[in-house]
Amino acid sequence: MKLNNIRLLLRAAGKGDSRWEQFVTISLESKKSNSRKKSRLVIQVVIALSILLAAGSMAFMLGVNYYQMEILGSIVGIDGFSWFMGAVTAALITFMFGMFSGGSVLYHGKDLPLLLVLPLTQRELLISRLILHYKANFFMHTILFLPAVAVAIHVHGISFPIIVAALVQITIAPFIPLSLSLIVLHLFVKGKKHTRKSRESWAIIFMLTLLVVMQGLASRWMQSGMDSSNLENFANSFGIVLQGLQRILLFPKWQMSMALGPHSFVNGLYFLLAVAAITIGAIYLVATAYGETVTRLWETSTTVRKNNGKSSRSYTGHYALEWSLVRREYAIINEHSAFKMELYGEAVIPLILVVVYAISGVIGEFKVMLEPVFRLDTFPMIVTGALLLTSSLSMMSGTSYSREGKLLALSRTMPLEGASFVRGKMAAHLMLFYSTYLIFSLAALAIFRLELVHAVWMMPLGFFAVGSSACFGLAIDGRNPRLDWKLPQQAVKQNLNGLAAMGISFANIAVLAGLGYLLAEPIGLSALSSGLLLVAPSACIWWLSWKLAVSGARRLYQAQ
Amino acid sequence: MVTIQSVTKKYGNSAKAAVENLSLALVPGEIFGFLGPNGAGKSTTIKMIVGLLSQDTGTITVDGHDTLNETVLVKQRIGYVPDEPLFYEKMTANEYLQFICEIYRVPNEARQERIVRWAKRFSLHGVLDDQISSYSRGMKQKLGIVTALVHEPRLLILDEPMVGLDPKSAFILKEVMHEFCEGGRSVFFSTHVMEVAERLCTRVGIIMNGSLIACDTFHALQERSGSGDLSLEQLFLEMTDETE
Ligand SMILES: Nc1ncnc2c1ncn2[C@@H]1O[C@H](COP(=O)(O)OP(=O)(O)OP(=O)(O)O)[C@@H](O)[C@H]1O
Ligand SMILES: [Mg+2]
Repeated sequence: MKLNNIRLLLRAAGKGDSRWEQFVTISLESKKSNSRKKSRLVIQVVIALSILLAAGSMAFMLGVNYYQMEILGSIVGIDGFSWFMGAVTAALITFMFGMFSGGSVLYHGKDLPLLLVLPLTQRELLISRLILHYKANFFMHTILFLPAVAVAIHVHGISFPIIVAALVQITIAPFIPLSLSLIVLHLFVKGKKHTRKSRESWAIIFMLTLLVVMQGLASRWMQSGMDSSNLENFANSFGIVLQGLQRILLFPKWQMSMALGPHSFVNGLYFLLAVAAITIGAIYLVATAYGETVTRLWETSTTVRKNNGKSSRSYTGHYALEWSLVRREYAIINEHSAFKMELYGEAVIPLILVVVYAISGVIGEFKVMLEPVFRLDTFPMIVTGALLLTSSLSMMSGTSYSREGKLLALSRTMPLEGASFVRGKMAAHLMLFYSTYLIFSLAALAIFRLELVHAVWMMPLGFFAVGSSACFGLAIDGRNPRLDWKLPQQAVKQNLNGLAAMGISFANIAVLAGLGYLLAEPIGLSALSSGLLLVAPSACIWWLSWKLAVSGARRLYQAQ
Repeated sequence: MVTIQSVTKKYGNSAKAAVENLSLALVPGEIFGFLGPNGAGKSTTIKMIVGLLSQDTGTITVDGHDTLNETVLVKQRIGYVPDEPLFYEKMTANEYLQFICEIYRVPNEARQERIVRWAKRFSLHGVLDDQISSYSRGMKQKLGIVTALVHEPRLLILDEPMVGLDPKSAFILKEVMHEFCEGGRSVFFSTHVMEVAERLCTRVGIIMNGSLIACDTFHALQERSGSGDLSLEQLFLEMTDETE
């Protein structure tokens, strides 16, 4: 085994992939024209801010959650429960994403056929891939866990064990979920009837179950927590749950004690030994047949036939041009499960949650809980704001050109104006996210028994807000699409453009919410008239975003 | 049909021009073969004609339309086979061709007939309903050619179209190129196969290091070289020989 080979493999795989490099390219882009310097600076700042906003708000929300856990823990006499929860959350989510990134990094990377013919040993290849697997998930694991460190320091003060434990936690703890993902992946890949689809649908089912269970538990707790009259009771039952959790989940228990005692050192040792054991076990398992497995997967992966044997379908059917572009957009999304998972997930998971809530009766309890807010005159606006947020924050358009990858060259030979492409992409976006918004808002009208007349402003407002989220996304991705990806994740999840687009959509909703607040509170208009008045500015913003998107597209599709 | 006037193109901030001061005119009804060593600038020129790249100086027109200002009109007239076949691989060939017909606004009634006709011509008819990802290299190449033909362009531009084709398909392609020109339409293609160029082309252009070093009929080139019985291969080797 040559270390140098591994280093070379990592360097080759990492070329131009880091977020930082991407950011620098965005900033350095269009170096030629000096006249654009100012607008470039503005865009750079806006992008940086929106990324900070998106990442920061997520970390903050997590932090608040962990803090609540810490408080609940302290009620029943457990110190550092935020650490415990942080470790569990980070591990679960890392495991889930590890299932995807591990699958594509280890077994389905586009560069694997190239590497398989090089004079490398199996082990060198495997090790480089494992490091990539770690690298791909390290950042997210850290973001998920850091808020717990902040909470622990805030509550317990800073100390030597906390710092050491935090470092250990950030660097070493990802090994647990990643090793587990390796083991599960290995079992899937070894399975006779393995298909990539089956594996990924299992991961999705796992994730959905997890989400539903976690949400269900959280809302149960929240709801009983609200009821302060029997806090005692609650604390008791909660304490039993917590202690139970600690008995079962040894890893996070060790991690927690490593940071906050008692017996920091011993617990840390347990933790490290256990991590070493599970990691070595997982790697050993995978290494037993890595080379053969990869080769076998490559042999079988390209012979898929869609309608095997079936006679040709009728060739008729007339579609509008934009409709063809919409279908193409979905064809591109369906090409990679990473795309499907990301985008359909964004659109559908809230929907599934609502259905689950409705069935489990949680919604009814929510309604009771929201009673005070419910009576506010501005309640319809608050609901709409929340719905707009869920429907606007998506990667759909912010990574739309990037997802085309090399195939963008194909679009560029097509005899169409930039505006046609934008129209097609926006329609595809609306189809997925405006339709879910419509379902949500109708459901909200029904569940909260709001007057139907509110639909008159909720529908157009949603259209323009979701539409501008699409166009802003296209404008951003059109400026500097990420086309040279090897793993589909790099086009969506690891794409800065998507994050920036989400930040701008967030800002857009914030602006509309601010305006709505002004209209309703200081000025004192009714929810109905404020809502109606909001449609105009939202339309203006949409128009602006449309112009930006079209000019971006024009530049992208013209000869370069 | 196509006019290229003193066109120069540099990639990024490289010092050397990929194409330098190139001038060419393609008349209706001709098959123009574009020859040159690797890296000479053939693909670059072709990409400028189809509107993928923009020249730094000079103008290119197709049917009188400027490639930079009237891109849509230009692209509408061109059928382009790229040097590397690219498709939405999860579509079936049929879905893909339907999509192309829609983009190029082929009348609804004509679509089915055209798709089937061209697919049959290149023996792809039996696999039209297969996913493109299951195609072999040559099958993809043929699908690329069918894609370029199915919207009946005025100008066919092919970048090394013979790559990966079996003898029969290569023969059919040559036939198709001939027929294509009969109605006054033109073909512009690059190739490394000298026999094909010699037999098929009305005129050939030889480009080297970004500059056109010869552009004429095969016979005129033979005469100019002084010996009337050299093959195009020999002529090509002689002209592009840099050792002296
Ligand atoms: N994307 C690119 N970036 C920078 N330089 C490029 C790029 N593509 C081509 N070049 C350079 O431009 C020159 C011409 O390349 P081109 O692809 O046009 O050659 P070609 O004649 O098509 O060669 P081949 O016969 O190998 O296909 C070469 O020197 C090449 O290095
Ligand atoms: Mg070439």
